Amino acid sequence: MDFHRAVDAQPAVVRMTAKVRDRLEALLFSRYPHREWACFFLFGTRLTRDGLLLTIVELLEPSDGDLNPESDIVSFSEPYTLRAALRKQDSGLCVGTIHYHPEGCWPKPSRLDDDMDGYYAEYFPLFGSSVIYFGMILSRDEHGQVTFSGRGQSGSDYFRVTTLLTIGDRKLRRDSAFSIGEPLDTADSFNARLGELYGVEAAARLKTCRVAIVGVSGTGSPAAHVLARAGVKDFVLVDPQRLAPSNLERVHGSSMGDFDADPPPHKVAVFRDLLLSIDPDIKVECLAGNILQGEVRDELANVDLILCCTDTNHSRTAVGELAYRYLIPTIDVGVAFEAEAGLVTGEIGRITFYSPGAPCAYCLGAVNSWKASVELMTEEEKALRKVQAADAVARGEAPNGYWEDVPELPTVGHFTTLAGSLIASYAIGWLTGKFTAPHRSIEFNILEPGFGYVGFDPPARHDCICQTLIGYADQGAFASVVSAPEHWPPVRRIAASDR
Amino acid sequence: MTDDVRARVESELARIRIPTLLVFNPDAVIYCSLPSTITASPTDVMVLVPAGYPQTMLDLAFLPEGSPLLGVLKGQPQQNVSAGGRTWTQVSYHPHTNGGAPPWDPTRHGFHTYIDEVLSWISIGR
Repeated sequence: MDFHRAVDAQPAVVRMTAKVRDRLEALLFSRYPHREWACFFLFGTRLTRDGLLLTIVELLEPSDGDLNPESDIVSFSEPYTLRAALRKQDSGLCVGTIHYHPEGCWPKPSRLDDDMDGYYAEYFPLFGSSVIYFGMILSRDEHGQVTFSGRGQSGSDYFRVTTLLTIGDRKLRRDSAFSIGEPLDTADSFNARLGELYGVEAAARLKTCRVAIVGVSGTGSPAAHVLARAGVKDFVLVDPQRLAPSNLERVHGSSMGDFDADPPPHKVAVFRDLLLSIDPDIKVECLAGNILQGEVRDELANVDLILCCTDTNHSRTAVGELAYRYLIPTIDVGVAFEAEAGLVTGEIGRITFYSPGAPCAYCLGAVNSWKASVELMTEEEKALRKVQAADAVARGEAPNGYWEDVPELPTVGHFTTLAGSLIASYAIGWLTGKFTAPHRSIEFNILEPGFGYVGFDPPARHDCICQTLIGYADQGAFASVVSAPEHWPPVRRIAASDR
Repeated sequence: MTDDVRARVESELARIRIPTLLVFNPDAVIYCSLPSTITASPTDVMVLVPAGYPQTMLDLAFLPEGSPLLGVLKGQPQQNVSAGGRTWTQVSYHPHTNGGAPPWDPTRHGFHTYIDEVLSWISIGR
């Protein structure tokens, strides 16, 4: 095994929580600036279309005697190494090493690092089922900012860490290997006001982030619209549907001319064209698919934030799971309308923030299990159940074990645009660290005094898997809570020339 | 069946002590030789892995075609289905939709808990 031969290494994205990162930096830099320090770490993985996602679960901190304090360089003891290997075996996760280089040194692997990584890349696969090993190096640049490198191996495949995403409750960070010390880009003229208000750094941060919009319709399209004008330049758009005439009332970017084509264009393509009309430099990946599908999940591995705008039970479940297993945060939004005696009595919005350690959709009671089942059923099963329900009624039995109608709730553009813009605002705050929402869950009704505002921060259930599988990624598949039905059509990537 | 679903189902089956079979096309779990207080001999019960599992709730149960329990246990016998090389008769048994079990929650429920519902079901007549 020779990492130097790995010239065709695939990119790897590392995700960790801010809590882990804070502890890691405190631990590693405890002997800074002259002596190195290190630890093992447990991580989960997902092999994606573009490379590898690595999610740090836990630091295996050294105890007394695990590292040689008299040595200037890192030297792991055998008991410490064996302890890490056994944790790997017991947990089903992977093990890596992380250390820092002293002041004035780039995080570039030395020959000693090559020897260490080569040894561990062969040693750790002997324990447990995973064959993936990673070694990472941290350092500080001349400005005192943390910079890093990382590399890994899985069998004959090599990986190079390109990106580090840190997920905090107040800020979402994106760092690129060897580029942290680069001067920040200045704001564009069109988002100069945002720069004046939040600072040049915040405006520049928006230009480096990647945001996924899941559901590009009533709430998703205005949310992305606002973010594009705020300077976000990299989007993943996910929606399985083509544009329908009723969408004109609320999908930003749609027009009557879209229906000249037969079939009409995909919603993601319609909205992509709006984004590019705002800024032709914006990068857009368009997926006609669903968040449950593997190819979509692969694309989400490298996003800073998901805005989930589908208001479906399965999507809420999925983003909750992506937050704890894959460390991908989400702002979820839904809207509802109430009417009585021919008058509209409620225009209600609900916003929920999902992040690692926060309660999942089931802890929040945000999933209706029957509606979720119906969303994922085949049309044949729905039809059969309806027939069986009718038969049950004929026998004098209750029909609701067989079938219960799920009414489709209409929405209107003025309110979906309001709700979409609101989550874009919270997204800007979270991405830049400039402000945060007052609560994890928010509900409001604009037709009530005080907008009927209710904010709450419910705790997670202590025994829920959302608290025990943080960062497990694919290694947590044994407790996955949702999957894509096989009868759904495969994901289709909509090319730039395609609608 | 996707890798994730298979990993999940296998993990659930590993948590119960009675013998089970995981079969494919259609994907289903067969609980083997379950004791019933209604008949002298034990019975197998088949449960389909629904599309979208585990978000989609487990529902229904299938008895071997011609089982003496058909029409005796609660639930209307329905159509026949082939799975695992055998023919099974669907029974309209819905524990998680007003059938006595709590609302379906995939963070808690699975084939490892559905067995409890099935064991109760096969020991109580209509």
